[in-house]
Amino acid sequence: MKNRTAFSLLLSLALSLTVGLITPAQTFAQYSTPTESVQSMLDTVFGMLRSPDFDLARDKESIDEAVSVAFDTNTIAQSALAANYRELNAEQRAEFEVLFFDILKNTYIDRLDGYTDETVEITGEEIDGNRGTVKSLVYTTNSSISVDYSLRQRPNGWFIFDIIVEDVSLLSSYRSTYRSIIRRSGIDGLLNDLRNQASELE
Amino acid sequence: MKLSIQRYTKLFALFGLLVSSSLAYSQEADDDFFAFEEEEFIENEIADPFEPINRILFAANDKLFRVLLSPVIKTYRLIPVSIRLSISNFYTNLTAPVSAVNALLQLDVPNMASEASRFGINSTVGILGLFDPATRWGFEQDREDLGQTLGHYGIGHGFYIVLPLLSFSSLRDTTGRLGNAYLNPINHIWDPELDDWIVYQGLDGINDLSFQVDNYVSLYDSALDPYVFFRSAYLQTREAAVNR
Repeated sequence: MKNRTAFSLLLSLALSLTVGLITPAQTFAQYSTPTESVQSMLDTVFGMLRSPDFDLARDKESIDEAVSVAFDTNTIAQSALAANYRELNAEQRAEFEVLFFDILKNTYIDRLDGYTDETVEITGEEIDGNRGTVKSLVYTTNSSISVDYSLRQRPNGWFIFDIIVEDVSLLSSYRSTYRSIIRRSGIDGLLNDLRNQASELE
Repeated sequence: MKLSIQRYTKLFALFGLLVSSSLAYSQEADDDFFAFEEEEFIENEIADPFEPINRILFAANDKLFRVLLSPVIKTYRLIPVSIRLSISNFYTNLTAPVSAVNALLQLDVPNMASEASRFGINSTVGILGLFDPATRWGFEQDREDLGQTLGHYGIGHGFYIVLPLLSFSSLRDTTGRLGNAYLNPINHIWDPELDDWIVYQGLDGINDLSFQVDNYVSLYDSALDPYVFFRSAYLQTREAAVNR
C-alpha cells in the first residue's frame, strides 16, 4: 500500500517541482536554512490550494511564482543528464532545459486540483557542506508517506533540486530514462524525442 | 515533429526567462557541485534480457489500466473512504504473518514480534483485520517479504520482469512472491474457485488503486520513456526496502 501510494505523492511533488521550474527564481529568494526554504514553499502552496476560492486557472501564475523561489532549476537540469551534460554545447543545454521543464510543466500543472487533504509535517534536517536534506511526512487519508527534499546551498540561500518520495528519487528516475535514450540514440536523439514529446503535449 | 509558431513563441519566451535568470545569477560553481553529485548517483541498473517482451507487457498493463481499470476505479471511489480503508486493512493484515516470518529469517526479532503482535491484535480486536488498533498501540507496520529477505542476504535481482497485471518485478522478487503467497494465511484457510479468487485479488488491487489520485498517468506522460522511468522507480523502492 505504502509504495503504491508513494507514486501519488511522487506526483504531487513532481508537480510542485515543475511549477517551480517555470520561473527560475534563484534571483530573489533568501532562505537561510534548508527547512525554512521547504517550509515556506509548502506553506504558500498549501495555503493557496486550501483557500476556499481557489481557482486553478486563475491562480496558476501565483502558484508558479510562490513555488519557483524554492527550486534550483539549473542544478536540476544538470543532474537529469549527469555526465552527459558535459557533452552538450551551450545551445543544446539551453534547449534541453527549456524542453525538460516545459514537458514537466505541461504534464503536471493542470493536476494541482485535488491535493488539499494532505497535511505535511517536517520531521528533520541534515546539512552536509553545501548539501542539505529536509525530511517530511505527508499524511494522506490512509497512510503517511516519507518525502525528503534535497537542497543545495547557493550564495543567496538554499534551493531544492530533488524530491525523494518513499525512497524514489524523482530526479534519479528521469536520469535513468535520459541515460538510456542517449545510449541508444545519442544526445541528438534525446533532444529530438523531447521535441516530439513537447509538441505532443501542446 | 511539428513545431508550431505558437510553440516557437513559447519556447522563446521560456528561453528568455532562463537566460535572464542565468544572467542574474552566476553559475560558476556548478561544475564543482556536479562532480561531487555524480559519485552519489544511484546507478539503478538491472539486467533486462527480456526487454522487448517486458516492453510489450508494460504497454499492455498500461492500456489495461487506462481503458479498463480507470473507469472502474472512478466508480469504485463512490464507496466511502472509511469502508475502503477497512478493506485495505483486511488485506494488509493478512500479510503480517509474511512480514513476521521474513523478519525472523532476517534475524530481526523485534520486528518479528511486532508483526506477530499486529496480526494477533488486528485479527481479534480489529475484527478480522478490518481495523488497525495495533498501529495506535505502538506496533507500527514494517513490511518484509521474501524478496527483501533474499536481498538482505546479498542475492541480486537477477533480471527485470514485467508481470502481466501485477506490474514490475524481478527474478528474485517474483520468486519471493510465490513464497509470500505460501505464507499468507488466506491460502491455507480458503480454497476458492478460480472466479472467486479473481474477485478476491481484483478487489485488493482496485481498492488499493482507488487511494491514488490519478498520478500514474502524469508520471507516465512526463517520462519520455516510461518503461525505463518505472523500472528505475521500482529498483529504487526495492533497494531501499532491502536496506531498511
